[in-house]
Amino acid sequence: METKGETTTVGSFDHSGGNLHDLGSLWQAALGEIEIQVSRPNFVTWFKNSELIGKEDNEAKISLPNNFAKEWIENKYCKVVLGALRALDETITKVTFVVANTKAAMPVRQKPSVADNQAQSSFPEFKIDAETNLNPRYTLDTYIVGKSNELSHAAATAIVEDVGTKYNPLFIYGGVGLGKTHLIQAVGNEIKKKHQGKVKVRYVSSEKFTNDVIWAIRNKRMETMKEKYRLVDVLIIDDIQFIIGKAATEEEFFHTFNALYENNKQIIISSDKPPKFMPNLAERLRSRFEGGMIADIDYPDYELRYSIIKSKLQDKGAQMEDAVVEFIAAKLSKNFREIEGAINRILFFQKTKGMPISVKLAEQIITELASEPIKNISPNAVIRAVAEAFEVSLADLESSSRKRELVGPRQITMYMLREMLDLSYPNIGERLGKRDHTTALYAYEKIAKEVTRNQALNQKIMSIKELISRE
Amino acid sequence: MKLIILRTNLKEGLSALERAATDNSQLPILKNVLLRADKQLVLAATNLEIGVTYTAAGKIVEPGSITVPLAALHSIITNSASERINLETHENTLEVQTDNYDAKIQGISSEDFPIIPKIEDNTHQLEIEAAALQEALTQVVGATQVSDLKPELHSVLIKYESGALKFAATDGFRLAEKTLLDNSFTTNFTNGFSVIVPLKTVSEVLRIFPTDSTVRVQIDPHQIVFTTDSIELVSRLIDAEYPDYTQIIPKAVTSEVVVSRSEFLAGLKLVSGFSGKGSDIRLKIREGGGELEIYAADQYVGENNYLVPIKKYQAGEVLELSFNWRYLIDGIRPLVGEQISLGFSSEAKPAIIKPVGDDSVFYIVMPINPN
Repeated sequence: METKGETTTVGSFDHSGGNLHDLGSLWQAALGEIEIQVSRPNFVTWFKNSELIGKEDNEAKISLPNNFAKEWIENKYCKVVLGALRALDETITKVTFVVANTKAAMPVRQKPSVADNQAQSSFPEFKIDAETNLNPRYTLDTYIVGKSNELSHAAATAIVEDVGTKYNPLFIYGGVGLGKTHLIQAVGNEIKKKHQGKVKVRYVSSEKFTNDVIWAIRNKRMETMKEKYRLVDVLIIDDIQFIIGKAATEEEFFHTFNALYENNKQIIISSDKPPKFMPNLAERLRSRFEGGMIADIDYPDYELRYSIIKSKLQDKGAQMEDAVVEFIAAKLSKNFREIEGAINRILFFQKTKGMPISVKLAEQIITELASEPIKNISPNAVIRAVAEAFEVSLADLESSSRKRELVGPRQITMYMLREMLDLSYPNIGERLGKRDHTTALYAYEKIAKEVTRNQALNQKIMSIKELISRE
Repeated sequence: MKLIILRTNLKEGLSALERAATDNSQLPILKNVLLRADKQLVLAATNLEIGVTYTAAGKIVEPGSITVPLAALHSIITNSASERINLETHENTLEVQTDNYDAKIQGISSEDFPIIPKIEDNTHQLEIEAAALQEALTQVVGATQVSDLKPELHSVLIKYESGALKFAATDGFRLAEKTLLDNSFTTNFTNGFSVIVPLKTVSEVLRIFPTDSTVRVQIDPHQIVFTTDSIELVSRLIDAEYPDYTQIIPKAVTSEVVVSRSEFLAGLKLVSGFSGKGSDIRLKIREGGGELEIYAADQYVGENNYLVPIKKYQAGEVLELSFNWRYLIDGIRPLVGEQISLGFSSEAKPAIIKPVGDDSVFYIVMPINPN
């Protein structure tokens, strides 16, 4: 899959006089040379996301992410860049710089704000289908099938063909983040597409269903509720476990279920466990759930994880070394959200560093995600990195001096020793100027609180972690 | 470098630059302000996304330049009581002196300060009163997406076409658009343009330009620059496709009511106290169309409602719709004029809010869908 994508890109570059692969490796080699000649901060700031995009006659064309980088490199590093390129390719006698791709470097800082009200509709043109409540993003085409989910997938596909009669209800269960929502929404979308609006589909989360029941009871509007849920051809209800034990909601759901079932309307249910393991589920509901088709989604096997990572990368138009993909697939086995998080994180690192990430660094990023201490790092490495990042001497940092310019870095050191290595507070205090364990505790708590709101500090700590990982 | 400057001049300049300077672990000089004295004193600061330059009048004794931490200098100048400030450099130190005060600020050579880029095409420009520009931006900026998940929505679209200058913002739940006709600006742009300006840049335009100044706007493919006599703000543009929002704008509505803007706002604020986590309130046109009811209830707090007299009511059915009250307030607050019209259709269609008698601006917002 990946090679196919590459050949087309190379092909499109051929006529403009260069080969993407050659340009890429040429620029990587030149960056290696440049990195030696300019200081680390300057290199990271100005050469981040730079790219050699063309070579025609004697002129090399380099794209930079913004005008600031362009001005600066043109004025200060033009000779360095030319020198580095010439050392590798004597035919180059001139470099030009262009600005391209200004959005590449945008870090994501916040989550969407409106998630606090699920019912808030967005402009239908933008996203959710207002009538079915389905997100068009989920399709069967993008659902990747492996051993662990093939039964569920087969049952779901069969329903698209045979709405309401084949498997009714379809009950799909599986752990968190294994793709239940994707599958049941995709079925909804597929049914809607196939039957061109003749079949009325409605997707609802259990939480939403519960809220509707409460609203209807309070406003004495049960008939609205009935209209809404009983006049559909396909009802998809997500995470049914959340309505179990809520008497009124369960009752209403039972009646809805019966009304639909008797009229041969399709019901699709998802849950985190099978009906027989839901102790509080009323017997009458349990027997109904078990009367249809029950299919599970298990933890994905290695092959499935591998192909999912590959397809996510393709969706994002990003690339990663095969060794890294294999590593993620081998290491993260429980949950696709975790895998997605790891991919995003690694891609972010790749973007900021401007080069593919090694398995070793990927390992650290993932370990950090799993918030396990990184075992192969010594406390001294952490202290050294902090000293280097703040440009203070190691001796000063480890001394008992209370100068202001030392206190901050020292607190950060304490925080990182605790957070990354899980050292004991007395041990941390001892290492940094023979301090009491309460000082270390205080420092840890203070910084831990601050990193959640201080973006600059957070960045600083990230860059120190990078320093450590380079050692 | 050696110069004498009035405190108020310097203070104004530093305030304008305040938010352009930034803490950057890789490039610490970005928290500094550049002072360059030649014929005049030029101050500059940048975070590599925007760059602000301020020209201040002062008596230059000896030309030269330096950079010092902006926050440190700003705090001195803000707190000083003296009218005149003497600035003098010794190597990489800036000495700030008044009659009874003396400070030496450790700086960094101006050699290392980023060069603030210029615009490529400086022949085409658009001139507009700062007050008009700021009013237009204020009326749409509330609809931008708060998160920068999608950079193009964390921005304001500025578009010039067929003689009109349009400002638009949307986060997918609501959309605001303002149109200025060519009697509010002058331009020699012969072709139209459409640029996506980051929210941060918009906030600075709203903050730093004095309302009585005239702003000159110029653009190139990657940048936009706003200039007055003393301030120049250059910013990167977002390189993305802005969603085609015109298809969202409802062509017709089922019911339309006219209410007093201030009364409706007051009602929203009052009733919203009872809205739940989802910030939802219900709007209902009472039978006969005499009143608009604002209603909110919460399981734990209770319920309340408020009646706003309807000044004008246009046909349609008796409607009841839920909205996020914050979204309503965001849209209504910046509108000018005493009366506003609210147009509703259904749960699945956006509502539209406009000031009565002013077609230059509208705000549309999706209801909360009870289904």
